[in-house]
Amino acid sequence: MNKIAPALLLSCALLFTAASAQKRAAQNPCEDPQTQVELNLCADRKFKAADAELNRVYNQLAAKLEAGGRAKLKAAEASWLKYRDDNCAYEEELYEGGSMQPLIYSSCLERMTKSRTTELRGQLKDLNQ
Amino acid sequence: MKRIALAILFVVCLISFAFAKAQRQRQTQPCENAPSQYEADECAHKEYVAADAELNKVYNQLAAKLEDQEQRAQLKAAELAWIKYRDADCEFASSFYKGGTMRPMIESFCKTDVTNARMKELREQIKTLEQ
Repeated sequence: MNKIAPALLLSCALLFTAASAQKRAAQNPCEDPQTQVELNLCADRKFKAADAELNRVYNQLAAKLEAGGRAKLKAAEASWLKYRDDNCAYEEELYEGGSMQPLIYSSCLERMTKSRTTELRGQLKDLNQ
Repeated sequence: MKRIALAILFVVCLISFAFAKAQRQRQTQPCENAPSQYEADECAHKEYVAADAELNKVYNQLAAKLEDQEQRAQLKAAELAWIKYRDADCEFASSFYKGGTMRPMIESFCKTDVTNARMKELREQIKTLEQ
């Protein structure tokens, strides 16, 4: 009996922690990610948001171009995508086998996507001048 | 005596201010003030060649820090992809000036900018490895 009480207490505590984590996750886990899984998930979300913004700016720029320029922009974007993937694969490689690997990969994608968006915004500005 | 000291101080400030301004201009658009377009092209090209040489140095520093064969192969793949991106992006950026005399200069400016950005990235990657 003496052994059962602490075990019971421990399972209660575990259950409580799990329940509160679930509640937090249901709210918005990315406001304050705590576990590696949450961190990975949130990094991926941030990348997807950055990617959507890049697509928006890309389309704005493409809309201002004639067919020839659009083809060149498309070629540049395709080569950028390959560069992004290869560069982030390199950064990920450094953490091979670690639980942080997905986080590193998504953070790299997000960072590169944001700087590409800045670049395209600059080109858009040049066109508007 | 006090007046002379003040005057000297004023002149020194003025000179250093002008110097700083000139340097800043050099850093932003050093070649645009060349007397002819040909010289501006040459100047911009030289600047790009210098940036490229510096990038190679940084790349080799990073590669030397990698012990894993696979990591080195992946870095090389990234660099080859980056070269293609640099060329395609600057081909696009300079296409607005197609047929114009400024085009080679614009292309060199673009390549220098893209090269400097890549250099910054590789330097960050070196820092990560050193942590």
